[in-house]
Amino acid sequence: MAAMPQTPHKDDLPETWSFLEAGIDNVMMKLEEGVDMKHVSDSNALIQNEATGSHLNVLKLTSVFFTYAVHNFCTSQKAVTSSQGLQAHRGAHLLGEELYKLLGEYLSRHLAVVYKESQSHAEEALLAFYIREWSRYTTAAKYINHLFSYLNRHWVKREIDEGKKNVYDVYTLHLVKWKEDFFEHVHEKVMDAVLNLIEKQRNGETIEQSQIKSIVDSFVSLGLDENDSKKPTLEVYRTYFQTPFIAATKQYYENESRQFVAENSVVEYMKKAEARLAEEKDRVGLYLHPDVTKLLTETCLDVLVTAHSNLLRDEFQILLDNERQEDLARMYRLLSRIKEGLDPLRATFENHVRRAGLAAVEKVASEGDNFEPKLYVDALLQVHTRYQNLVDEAFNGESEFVRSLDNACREFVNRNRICKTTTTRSPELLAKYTDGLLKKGSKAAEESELEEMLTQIMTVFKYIEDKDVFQKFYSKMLAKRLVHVSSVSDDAETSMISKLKEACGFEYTNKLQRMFQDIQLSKDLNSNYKDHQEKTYDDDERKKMTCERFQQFYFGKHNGRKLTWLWQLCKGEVKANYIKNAKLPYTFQVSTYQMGILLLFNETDTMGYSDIQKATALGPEVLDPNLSILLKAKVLLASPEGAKPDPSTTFSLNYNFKNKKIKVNLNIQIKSEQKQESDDTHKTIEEDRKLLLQVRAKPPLPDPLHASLCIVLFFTNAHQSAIVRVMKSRKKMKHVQLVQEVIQIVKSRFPPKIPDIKKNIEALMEKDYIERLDGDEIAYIA
Amino acid sequence: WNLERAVDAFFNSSPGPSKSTKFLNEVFDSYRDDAEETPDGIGIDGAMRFLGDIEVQLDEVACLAIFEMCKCPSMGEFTREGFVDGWKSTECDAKPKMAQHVQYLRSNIPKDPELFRRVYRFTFPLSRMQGQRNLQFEIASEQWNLLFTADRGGVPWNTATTPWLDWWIEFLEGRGKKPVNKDLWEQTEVFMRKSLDDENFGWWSADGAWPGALDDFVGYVKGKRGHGSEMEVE
Repeated sequence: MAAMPQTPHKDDLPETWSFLEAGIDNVMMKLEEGVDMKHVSDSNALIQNEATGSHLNVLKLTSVFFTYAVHNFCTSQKAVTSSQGLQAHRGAHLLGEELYKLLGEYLSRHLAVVYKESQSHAEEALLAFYIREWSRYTTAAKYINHLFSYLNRHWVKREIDEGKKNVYDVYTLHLVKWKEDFFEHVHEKVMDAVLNLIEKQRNGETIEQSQIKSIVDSFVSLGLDENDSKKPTLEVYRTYFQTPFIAATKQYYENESRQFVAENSVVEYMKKAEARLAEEKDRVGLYLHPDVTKLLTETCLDVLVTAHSNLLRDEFQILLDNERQEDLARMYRLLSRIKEGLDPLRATFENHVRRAGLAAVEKVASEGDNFEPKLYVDALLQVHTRYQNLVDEAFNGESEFVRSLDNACREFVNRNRICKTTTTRSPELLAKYTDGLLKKGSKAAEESELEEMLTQIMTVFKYIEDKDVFQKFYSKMLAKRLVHVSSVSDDAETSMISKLKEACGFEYTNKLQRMFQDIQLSKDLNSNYKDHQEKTYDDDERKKMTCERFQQFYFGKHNGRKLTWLWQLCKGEVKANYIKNAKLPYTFQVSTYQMGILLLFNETDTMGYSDIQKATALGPEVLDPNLSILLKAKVLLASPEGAKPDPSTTFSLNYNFKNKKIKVNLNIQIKSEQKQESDDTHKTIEEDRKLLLQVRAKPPLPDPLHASLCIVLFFTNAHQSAIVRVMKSRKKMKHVQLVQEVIQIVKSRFPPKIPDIKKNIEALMEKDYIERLDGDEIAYIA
Repeated sequence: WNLERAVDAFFNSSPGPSKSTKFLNEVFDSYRDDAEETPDGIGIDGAMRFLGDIEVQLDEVACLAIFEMCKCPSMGEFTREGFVDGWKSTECDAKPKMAQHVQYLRSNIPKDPELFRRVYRFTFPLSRMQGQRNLQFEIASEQWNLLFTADRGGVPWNTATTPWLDWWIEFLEGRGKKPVNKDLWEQTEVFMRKSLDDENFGWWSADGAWPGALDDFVGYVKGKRGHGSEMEVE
């Protein structure tokens, strides 16, 4: 108890200070030790323990006296010289300042010792030392701060209030001193140790992460706002930790990636880079301050991805060629994280898909002109499906890549070897393929399978530019399916039309839908006619030419209408009673033309070419192929044998006709007819386009409240007019803009030509619907 | 003749005929063909006499300018309102002054693009056959020959490298002498000005707002130059 301090005299500075210093020193040096000692249990420790125990008591006691001493010291002069107010104040003031200064000096002395000791440590030992000293120092600082709270509350507060710089509360003073007298001298060495440790970990060794965590915390604590010491800043941490850490990271990965790339494939490198990026992200959570996240990620991306982005992109084509989906996905993930990393890939991708599409078409085309439409459509679809899949799986379905895919598909669907001469080949083939699916006897038996295929057709349809061509062919073939009652099912037909409607709008399918009504009408008409026939004609009359009778009936019902016979679409059945070996007579399903030819043989068994031609009045372009079919089926025999139908050939009825089936279908479509039909269709489409945009009527005014520029454009085709109407609720618009708007509207059908649009704008001007104002503005004339 | 009063009268357009109005009405009356039938109109004969008296040739641009000024409903036909309002703005109070004004028009038409454009545009409705929307090609061609040459007071459409007017007529003849609509008529004059500024079509683009005929004409001119003189690179 000898150390029991005596309360010093109030006004004696040296005496007070030496009293205080002894206490502070105890706190600084022995506080922690004392605590630690409690746990030591060997024999020697007993004595120490006792000593420490009393020491602790001393500490507790000191704290009471200590606080009191500081308080007394600060107020003493005031009491003595209270009569001389101002001076007394200054006296107390001076003493506070003195005390503060002495405390600072004490800390400097302490830290000088710490620094000296630190010099004997390096690397992890240095870190351990730093952490230990830091912990001791800051614990003591809290305690001392408490002891000096009177100084804090009065002198320090006043100084700070008066705006004095470099005066801090006692705890902060500790931090400032630590930074100035210790940290400044050791931070480099400490950081070297830290960075070495991190490098070890990056190299795969196990390290004691908590050390780094403690260092980080210490650095962060040292960040003090000059203006408000209560407010922490990350400045110290950023300058002394973050900057060297980032630099080291950069260096490390620059070296590693350079070396790795030199020794490994790009694919391997991407895996490595991805792993490293994940690792660094985890590192932040383990022992770094979250503040570093953004910078660290950016640095890593810079060094690991951006620096090698060209190398990566060069590999892109190779990966595409080899369909390495997983690696492509990895590349996408990496490059999507850097600025503009993916842009060059999109062009490459688009080109690649286009080439793939062209190659697929090339393959179909190489098999000659007579390929099945299915082959062509499948080729297109296959390419699309493959790359749609790639975009979804590897490129995250990203819209920019979807666009590249669309661009590529549009290109190869509309411009490839098969459509070399005209872009209208694609829609024609697509329509034919659709017809094949919707016709009875198609291979897609399952309803769901058929639906699936129709959906796929729409995928190709989306890319077709000449949608009007598809419409034209589709409607022709639909008409045939309906007339021949050869649709696979009404549901499938309806489903396809609703798909087209969804894609192109009501106007596009309007006519197709009307066909179904027409068929119903036709059914009614036929049953009416049947009734009429039953009632009116006797047996003899029935033998009259059927069509004459129908004509009579039809005109009787609808006066003034025109009736057009489409002979090429008519068909019938002929019973062959003449064939000797047949138990049951064969039935031939024939076209009207074939029937005309065969009926001639009721009168005679043999006939010359010219007689047939005279009797049927058919041109050779129709007659020849039909005769060929009859010859090929051996219904007729040619003489000389094997001769082709020409003026020198004679034809005779084959009495020995044989066939496995009782019903023989001879009504096969003829190649040349098909070709002719297709050419005709193309021709009508050309004409329709010329008619497009033509103005048919004065445009109706929109809402009279805003009389507006209202341009009405009509699509016209051979059968109906007035399809699309466009209104712009603007009184005026620029010529160029107007042209663009029209292109937008028409584009869904086919790519329009600007001169055609201009021509129609002129036509509207001529009719005074619109006029040109100055500056090439077009205005609506109300 | 009190200038101030006349000016006041003009600007205030105060009711009651001013001195010049009185004079103009008298002139108008003296050229009427039939004071009984059409008291407020001058017909072809009167118009010819009037134009002769103020020394206007029937086949010069200045004549069209007079028609424009008086807002004539057709060639050689004046209305009282158009005649009086038109001349009032010139402050003429005697026939010699009218002839002087014609002289003024004659010299200004080629120099003043705005005046020229007014006269040019008015020529379209003026030259149309009654009840027709467009101008017959033959008439249009004749009027272009009048308006786009210097001989009779127009603006010559002709440059060192290109006989624009001749080619234009030739081009339209080649297309079947179709009637000329109002837009084409008006845009031809705009086109003419542009082509005089820059013969090499720096101002032209295929997507521009020109009528189709003028777009095609650009190609025609380029083609002809290519075959003709070797000076042109186009």
